[in-house]
Amino acid sequence: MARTRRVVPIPRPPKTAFDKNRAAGTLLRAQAVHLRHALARHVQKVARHLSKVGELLATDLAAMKTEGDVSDYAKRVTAILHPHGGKSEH
Amino acid sequence: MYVPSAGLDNLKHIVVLMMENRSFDHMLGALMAQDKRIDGLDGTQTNPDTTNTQIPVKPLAEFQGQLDPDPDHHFPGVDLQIFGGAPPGAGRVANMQGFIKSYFQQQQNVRQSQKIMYYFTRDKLPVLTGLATQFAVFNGWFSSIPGPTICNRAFAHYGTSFGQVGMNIFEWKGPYLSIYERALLAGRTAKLYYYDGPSSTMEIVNLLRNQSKIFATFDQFLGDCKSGNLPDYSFVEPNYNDHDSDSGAEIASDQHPDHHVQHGEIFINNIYNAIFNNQQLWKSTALLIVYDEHGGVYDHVVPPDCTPDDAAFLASADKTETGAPFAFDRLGVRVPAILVSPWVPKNIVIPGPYQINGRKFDHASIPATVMKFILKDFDPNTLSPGNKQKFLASSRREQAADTFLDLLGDKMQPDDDIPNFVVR
Repeated sequence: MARTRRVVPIPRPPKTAFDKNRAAGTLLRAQAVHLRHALARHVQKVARHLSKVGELLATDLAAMKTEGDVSDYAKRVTAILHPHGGKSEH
Repeated sequence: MYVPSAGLDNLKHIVVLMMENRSFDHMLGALMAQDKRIDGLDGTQTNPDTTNTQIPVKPLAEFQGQLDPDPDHHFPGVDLQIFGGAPPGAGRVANMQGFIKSYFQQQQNVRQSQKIMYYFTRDKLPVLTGLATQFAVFNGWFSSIPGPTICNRAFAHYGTSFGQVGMNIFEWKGPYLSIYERALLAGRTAKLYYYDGPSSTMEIVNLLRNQSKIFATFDQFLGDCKSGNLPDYSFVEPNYNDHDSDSGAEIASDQHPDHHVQHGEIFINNIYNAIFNNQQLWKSTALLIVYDEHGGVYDHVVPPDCTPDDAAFLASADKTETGAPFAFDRLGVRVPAILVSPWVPKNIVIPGPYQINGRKFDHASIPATVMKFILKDFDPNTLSPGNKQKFLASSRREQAADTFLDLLGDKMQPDDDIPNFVVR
């Protein structure tokens, strides 16, 4: 059932409020610097990740003999494929 | 320790919306004309301009085009605004007399510099003033640092800025976890909702690096409100820039000068409505609307002293650029803050630190409050010793910060007395 409230009209800003050519201020410039830094960190992480992937792809599966061998391999691959380790994504 | 209340018993969600760069007096100071309890403006407040003429506050603030260039709000600029230009040293007195002087430095334009004293009339901000007069408004909520955005927002996420007073990149150094990580350790849910990809977030380096599960977009916030899946704690960021999207022009909604203030009003209303429109959510949510810092715009209340942050976080003189170090022992300039919940008694004003029964809040009050909310029904002894230590560790500033859930009472405000802001 719809709930009634006291109506208060509010105006809409004019279309001229939008200006994507407005000069970016210090906050947005700082945000770009922080984003680039975060990206650089991310790339470093991915690069480390890729070297692990290469090693895992090159693994000689025929040489794995024991359950321990397989479980160790599965653990390392799963950590890459499912980094949150099965924890729910809220 | 909380005094039990029906409002607190019903509380399941805390939502914080942090807007950008407007002072209390600029946005809410006009309310004092109707309500003397509000520590706002009566027209007698002045600042000297550079011709040494006393310039009074004036109700002439406009939605856009007036605060361009963006007023200085970096540490040295705010120091000038608060202390009127007196150099750091023993015995100097904060007087809030340097706002026009500070703004003048940017363009050497006397007339432009006086606009820093302008404030909005009540009718121009129906959403913000409507919520302030319907629910709880704080006379004494201050930014955490007399400085810019990034370090102030850090206080909302971590209860400290780890010694930062500026906009530089900083890496999380520990030992304090973000409030999101602490909530997750306790088995609770927490999310930081940024507006969209082109706007992104201002909490970039520390959280975005490893905590993808903590982030979501504003569309998901609206969906989570509708479906009843809002996390225990949500922090919402506005749109920080004008950009195109598949649905058309996206106007910045953060109210940062020189973004259109009315669009920020609509954004605030969208969040308020998203919560109200789910009846169960409305009954179980406390929404705090707060601004990160004053943005260089005039406020008349002297920021009070506070408990210094951890000694390890002392900001050196070269970081503050004032010639003196800073121990995080003074709050920044006052900002608007409003607590919205049906359990808040109608039209209450929380006194500021210079008033009878006064209280002072800053952004460290946010993680401090969320921790109390979590601890209401979570026993940290159920954690491993290591996780318990991580969960409970907090900065000196956070430990000293006041919290606000005691404002929830026993009676709900009836729906039919609550404002429904309709865009016309």
